[in-house]
Amino acid sequence: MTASGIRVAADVGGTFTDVIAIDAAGHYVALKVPSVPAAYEAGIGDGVRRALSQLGAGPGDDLLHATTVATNAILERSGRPTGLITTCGFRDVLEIGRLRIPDSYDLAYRKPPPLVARRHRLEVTERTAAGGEVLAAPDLEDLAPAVDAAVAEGVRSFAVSLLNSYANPSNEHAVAAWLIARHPRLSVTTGTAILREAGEFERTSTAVVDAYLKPVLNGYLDRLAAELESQKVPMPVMVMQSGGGLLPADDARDHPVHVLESGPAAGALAAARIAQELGIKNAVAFDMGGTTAKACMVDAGKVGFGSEFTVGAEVSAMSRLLRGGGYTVRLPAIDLAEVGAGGGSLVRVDAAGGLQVGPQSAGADPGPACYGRGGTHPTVTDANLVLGHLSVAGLRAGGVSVHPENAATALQLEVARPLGLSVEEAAEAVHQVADQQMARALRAVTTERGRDLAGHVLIAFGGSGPVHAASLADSVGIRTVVVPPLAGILSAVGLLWSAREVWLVEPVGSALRSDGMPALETLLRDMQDRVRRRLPGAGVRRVLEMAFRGQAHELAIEVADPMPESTSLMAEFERRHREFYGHAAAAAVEVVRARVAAALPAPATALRAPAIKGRALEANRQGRFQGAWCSIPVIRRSEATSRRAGPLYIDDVETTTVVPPDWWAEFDELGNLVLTR
Amino acid sequence: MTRSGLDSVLEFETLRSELQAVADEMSIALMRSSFSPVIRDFLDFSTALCLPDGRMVSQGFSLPLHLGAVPRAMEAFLWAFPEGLAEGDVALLNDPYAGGMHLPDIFVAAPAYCGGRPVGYAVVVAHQADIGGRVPGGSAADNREIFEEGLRLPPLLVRSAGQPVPAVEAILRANVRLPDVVWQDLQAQIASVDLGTRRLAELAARRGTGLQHGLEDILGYGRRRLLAVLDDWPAGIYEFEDREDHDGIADRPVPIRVRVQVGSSGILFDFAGSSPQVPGSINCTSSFTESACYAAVRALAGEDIPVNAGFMSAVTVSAPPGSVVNASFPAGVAARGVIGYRVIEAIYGALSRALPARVPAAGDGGTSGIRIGGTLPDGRRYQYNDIVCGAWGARPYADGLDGAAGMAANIANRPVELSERDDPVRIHAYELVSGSGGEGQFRGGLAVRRVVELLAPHGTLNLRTHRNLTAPYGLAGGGPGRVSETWLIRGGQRRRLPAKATLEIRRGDVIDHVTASGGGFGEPALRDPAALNEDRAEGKADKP
Repeated sequence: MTASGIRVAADVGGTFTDVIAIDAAGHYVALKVPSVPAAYEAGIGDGVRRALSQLGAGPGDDLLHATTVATNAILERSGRPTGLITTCGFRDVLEIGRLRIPDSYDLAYRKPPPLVARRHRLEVTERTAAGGEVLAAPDLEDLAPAVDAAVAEGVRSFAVSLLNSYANPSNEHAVAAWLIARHPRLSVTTGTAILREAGEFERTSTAVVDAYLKPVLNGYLDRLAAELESQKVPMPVMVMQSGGGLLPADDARDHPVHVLESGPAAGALAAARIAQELGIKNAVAFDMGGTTAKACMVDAGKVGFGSEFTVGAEVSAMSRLLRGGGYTVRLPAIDLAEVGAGGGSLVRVDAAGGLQVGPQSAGADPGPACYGRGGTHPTVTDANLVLGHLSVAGLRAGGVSVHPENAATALQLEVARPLGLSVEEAAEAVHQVADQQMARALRAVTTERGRDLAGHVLIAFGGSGPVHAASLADSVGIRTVVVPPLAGILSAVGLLWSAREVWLVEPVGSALRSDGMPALETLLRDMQDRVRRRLPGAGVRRVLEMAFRGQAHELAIEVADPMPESTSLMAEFERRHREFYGHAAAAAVEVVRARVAAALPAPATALRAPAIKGRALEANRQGRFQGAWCSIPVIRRSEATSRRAGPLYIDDVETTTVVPPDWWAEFDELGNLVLTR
Repeated sequence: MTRSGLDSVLEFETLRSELQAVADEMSIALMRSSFSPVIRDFLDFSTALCLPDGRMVSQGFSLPLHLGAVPRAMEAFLWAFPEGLAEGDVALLNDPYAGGMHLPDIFVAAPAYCGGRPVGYAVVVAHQADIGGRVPGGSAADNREIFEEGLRLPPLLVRSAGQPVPAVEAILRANVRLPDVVWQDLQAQIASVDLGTRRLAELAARRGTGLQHGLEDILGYGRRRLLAVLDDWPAGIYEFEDREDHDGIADRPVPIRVRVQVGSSGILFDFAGSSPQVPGSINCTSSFTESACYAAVRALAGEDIPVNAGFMSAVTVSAPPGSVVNASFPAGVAARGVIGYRVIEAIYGALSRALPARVPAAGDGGTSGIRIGGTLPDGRRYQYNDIVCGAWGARPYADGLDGAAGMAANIANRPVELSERDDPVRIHAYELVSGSGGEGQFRGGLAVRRVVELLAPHGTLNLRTHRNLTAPYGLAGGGPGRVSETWLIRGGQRRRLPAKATLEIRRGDVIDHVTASGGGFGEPALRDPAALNEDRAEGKADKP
């Protein structure tokens, strides 16, 4: 197939599916269509067809995809029964986990049920010692009846994760090979194939998530391909990974665990690219959606990665540090702090007169009171609507039915009356308390680096991000806010900008010493060869994750080719450690693992101009700032040509940027809206 | 107090979240700079902000059993420095008989000043990796008095008017086994209070004298939140007695008695009738007992109530001096965690009659400590150290959890693969014990089993386990959990070991430990047949 230069991105969330189609000249069509939770592919197919037809184009070269399908399958446990084979005596490792619970005081805590039922966690008599010596080969004859019974009960996908297999996977491989030979139609994931690292719970949990998702993601990708075909827009699909980079659909089918949490990664990486383009050294990416707000440090155009994440864990500014709860995946993911404050967050007044925003959310259903879908409790979006920050006409044009009177009633009954305020005052209070909640996430990520927020640039996106960005910046002393083009659907933009990427991780676990360097170089070269075979022509990055001996937190240090001297790596590690943690201990440095990535960069398409231009639906509307109503001018982004003073509303199809009094708005040549005060 | 007017609502709400943000930031700053896994991975620390008179206005991340720690430490600091700390000072203490809890917990406090006026204190307490004494890590149950437990630090300046006090560093380094780690973690604590005082000063600069009023409002809010909860609790007097089986030295049970008086103006806990202090070091300071009371109330409230001096003003704790819940000098207190557990379970037992729809039955009773230490043939020392726990008591609305830490010690386990890699042991099982949960309409959590074989020629086994005579209680007709058991298997012979013991073991010896299981709730006959069938299918209940 010859390349048309047309590319399509689709980011599927629980409520909306965001689609962008763009041609080689940078003309684009962006759409926000309702998601179809019963059949996500249907919403995508419809959106993609419409976007391409509005662009006047046939099928694109590829469909770049971020999806919550995998995450939802885990949260709802809608996948099929999955099996686990593990070492005799350890079938409950998956259920016991690391013991910690997310909130110490929660007597009503319900542990997320393991993805594999206890009766399908099968034990095999075998043993490998910590040093790798096989003490007992697996007794497969003894295992057979239990496996056959599980298959008879409908188990179609198995994880195999044996104790100490990180030191020597031969027993694990033997079990997997036997399993496939005995039941050729089973899909089988071995723990060490994803992650060859010590830590039986994390490795087993990651393998189980992968095994659980295989039937889910394979079925979904099959349906998506068929849907694209039937909409007459067949395209190869690439899926975003949690650790960044796009993975061809066939690779995602093999190891679906890599494409969990793909939407947030795409958004944060897009913000990082904007920081790079604008030459911003210290930025914080701020993404406010329907249920949560996320913050992520962007340091000289780069985001940080953590070595582990959880699906379905409780959300708070501290939860990523405190851990506990959810389903653990030990794979790199973008390091975000998240708080339970989004547009749909519920607002209430407690028994002692405190105003609480979130973390409970009205979700997609019933949604905010103003959507008129049965929600009676007020949300942050209801407050913003009452304040005039959201456009009733704009929301209606986007297909949302809006009932402003429901928002006012809900706020009156549940906030204004208990606090002795008017409805408008209550709405202002809610807006500001939401800002304070989100400020905690911003402070958490900067304090971790030993920095103050003031002096950072806020890059705001997500459906509600640009509504709150300026007032949030005011509350933390930030004076510059960047709202990228298509900020309301920036994750979809991030897909367009993402490289095709594969990476490998190998444990090292040895001291950083000059006599160990040749072995490290051999390992890295071997990994380079392996990633290049999977992605011919790609550029390669080599990273060593290092830590002081005895410490659990590693730092990723990029290493050049050829390998520098151990002393210069040590100096670089100590410098970075001092920068991150404020000190460098006088302890030995250990190389924990090696990571090698191969990336084929995306075509450098800039978002030049929307293929269809529009004017704002209203010239001005009543908005409330600092206790006073006034008539606020409303413009479309495409109409803004010169520097304008707030108050001002900039309505786009997917979001509104609120420019309060004392703030100025102007556009840069890349189409970013830059707010300053 | 009622608040009205947008400005006063916003002033209050903004201050409330800013204080939370400062406390978060102090915790992050501490974790960021600390070195030892005790702080970074076990999260054994708490942060707080106080008024100039020592009253605590807000806590950041806090261990439940630290909730009452800071007020007593602030009293001791202000007693030692009656004029208050001066600008640039940082003070520390760890002496349980002068504001501390047990010796590994070092408290660090610094004052915030704004325009030469004191506006408050930032305080951090963190468990240090070592503090000297006869046993590494400093929490052995069989110490007989405080002098065996390590270095005692009364309230002292570690920084005076911005200048480090070298004598404190020299004394601390000379007395601990890990001088660099302990000193680094103390620097992390100082970095954390420095950040806290800087933020507090910024708040004061923005608000001027309004800050003090605002902070009083925050205290009033904490008190009102608790009183609103207590208002829903039936007033009355509720009593209960629970016991710890053994203090590590004297072979007799240690009763904990509590009388709880619930009223609309507050709640009172009276521990009269509890055991006198004991020879083994499981005794608590009154601040630890208070912490356990606050933690129990906070958990039973079922809401995210801020624990500050306003909250505490509605809670009264009376613990007889010289008892195991308020030890007198020079009793050992290193291993007091276990009594904290028992205090909470005694309170739950008492309040189960007041709050039958909320209070859970008793769980495994605490973390089992199994430590094996010794020397390898090549002269290297080893120390295998693990905690085993995980059985919750049944709740009035749900089964007890299987394999989850509890409130009093919400910590992470150590991976089997790391233990086998680093220590001369082989672990043969780490699993739930089928059918072990206390019977009931809702069953107790399953016991957890851990089987450890020693691969080194020799080792000293130190056992610290709980509930091996007194079973975890059930409630409302639910059966008790099973008691814990520890077996030594040598040459095919099984020998049962006591709950707390120190003994020599050798290569090939196997320690088979099973924790207690959780008590049940409600009549077993009322159990939902579907739940019972599910348990049977899952191998969690015995087949009929």
